[in-house]
Amino acid sequence: MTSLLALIRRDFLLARRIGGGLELGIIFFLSLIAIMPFALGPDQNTLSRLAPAILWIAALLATLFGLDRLLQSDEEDGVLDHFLMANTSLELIVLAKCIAHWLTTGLPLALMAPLLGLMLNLPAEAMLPLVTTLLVGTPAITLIGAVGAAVTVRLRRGGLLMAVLVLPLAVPTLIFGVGAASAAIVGPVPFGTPFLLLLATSLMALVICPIAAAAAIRLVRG
Amino acid sequence: MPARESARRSRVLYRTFFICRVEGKRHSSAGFFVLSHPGFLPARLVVKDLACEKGGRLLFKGLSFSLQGGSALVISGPNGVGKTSLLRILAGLATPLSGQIQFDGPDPEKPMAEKMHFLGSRDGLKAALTPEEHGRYWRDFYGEPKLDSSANLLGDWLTRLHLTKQAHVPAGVLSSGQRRRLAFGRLLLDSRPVWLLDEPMNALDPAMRESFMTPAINAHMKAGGIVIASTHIPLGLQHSLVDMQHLSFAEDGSHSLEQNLS
Repeated sequence: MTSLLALIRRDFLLARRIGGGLELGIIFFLSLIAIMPFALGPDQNTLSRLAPAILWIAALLATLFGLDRLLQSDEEDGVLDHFLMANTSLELIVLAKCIAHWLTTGLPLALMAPLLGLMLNLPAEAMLPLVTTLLVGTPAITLIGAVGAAVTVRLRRGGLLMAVLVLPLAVPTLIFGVGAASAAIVGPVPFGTPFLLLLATSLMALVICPIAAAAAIRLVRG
Repeated sequence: MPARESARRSRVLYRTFFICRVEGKRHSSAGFFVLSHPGFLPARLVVKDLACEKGGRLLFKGLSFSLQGGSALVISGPNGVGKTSLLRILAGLATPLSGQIQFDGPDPEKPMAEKMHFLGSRDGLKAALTPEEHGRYWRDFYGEPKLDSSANLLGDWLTRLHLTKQAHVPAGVLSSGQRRRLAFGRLLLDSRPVWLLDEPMNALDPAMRESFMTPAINAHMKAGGIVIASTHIPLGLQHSLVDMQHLSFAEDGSHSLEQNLS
C-alpha cells in the first residue's frame, strides 16, 4: 500500500513539475470546445442539444492525449525494469499509475466541464449530471488507455496507434456517458439507467484493465 | 512462517544498521558501511548451462556457475558478447533460450526477481525529481516507513552517496557520475541479497570508485550478499571471473542458431 501511495505521489509530482500533462490537457479540452461552435454554427438550440456529446468527445480525446507516455517514459529510463522486479504486483503498479493519471487529467477535466458547458449553452440543470458522468466515466477511459499504452510501450511513436487501439474499446463508456448526460436534458430515458451502465463499465475496466495492461507489458517485454 | 520472519528481521536489522551510523558508531576502517550488518541468510545462486539468443543470433551457450553468499563474480568480454543480456536474464527481465537459474536461500516461495537488484545502463532516474525526492520515493516504494521515520535515513543516505549538496537539484542537471551514484543509491534502500551491476564503475572518477563503489560492494559481500558485475574497470576487490569470450558465438554471425546449438 505504501508502495502504491509512493508511486502515486511520484507521478503526481512529475506531472505537476514537467507540466504538459495537467495544464496542456485542459487547454486542449478548452480549444476543442471552443472550435465546435465554428463548425456547428451559432444556433443555440443545436449547441445545447449537442453539448453533452461534444464535451464527452473532447474529454475522451483530452484524456487519451499524452496517455501513451503513461508507461513509455518509465520504459525509456529503465523504471519499468524496477517495476517488473518490485515486491508489489505489476497489476497494482499499473492501477496506481492510472490513479495518478486520472487525478492529473480526468478529474480536472470533469471539474472544468460546467465552465466550458457555458460556451455550448449547456442548460444549468444539466451541469451536475454532466460532471457526474465525467467523474464516473473518465477513469474508465484512463484504464482502457493504459492497456493501449502497455501494448505500445516499446514503440517510439505509439501515440496514434494507441488511440486507434483504444477508441473502439471506449465506445461503451462514450455511449452511456453521453446517454446519461443527455437524458438529464432531453429525456426520454431517465438519468439512472445509462448512468448505472456507465458505472458498470467503469467498474469492469477497474478490474480488467490493470490485469490486461500488466499482461501486455510482460508479453511485450518478454 | 519462520523463513519469512527471519527475512523480515534481517530487513529490519539492515535498516537499523543505517540508523546506527547516524549515531556515529563507525567501526569500519573502510569508512563506508558499518560492518555490523547481521547479514543475509546463507544463499547460493546456481546457473546451469545457460544459453542466450538475441534477434535470431546465438550470443552464448553453456554458461554455468555457482556463487555462494559473500562472493562476487565479474563478467568480462568484449562488447556485444552478451554481458548485459546475461544480467537481464538473471534479473528475470529477459528469457534465456535454455538453461536454469536457481536461488537457494530464504523465502523460496518469493519470486527470484524480488531478491535481486539490477543496476542497468538506463539509470531509472527522473530528470525532474531531486535526489532527495528519489530517495523518498524509493524508500516508500520498497520499504516499511514506520522504521525509517525514526531516523534521519534520507539525510544519512544522501551523505553516503556524497550528494548532500545536490539534494535539491533536479537529477536532470546532475553530472553523469552524480547520476550514477544516485541510481546506485536505490540498491541501499531495499535489502536484497543479489546485486546485478551493469558497468557499475562507469562515469565514476577514480577517487569515487575507490572511496565509494568498492567499499559499497565490499560491504554488501561482507553481509553475505552476492554481486555479479559486468565491468571493464577493476572492482578493486576479490572476485571470481567469467570470461564470456570463450562461450561466445557473437563473432561468427554466419552460423545459424541451429548449427551452433547442435
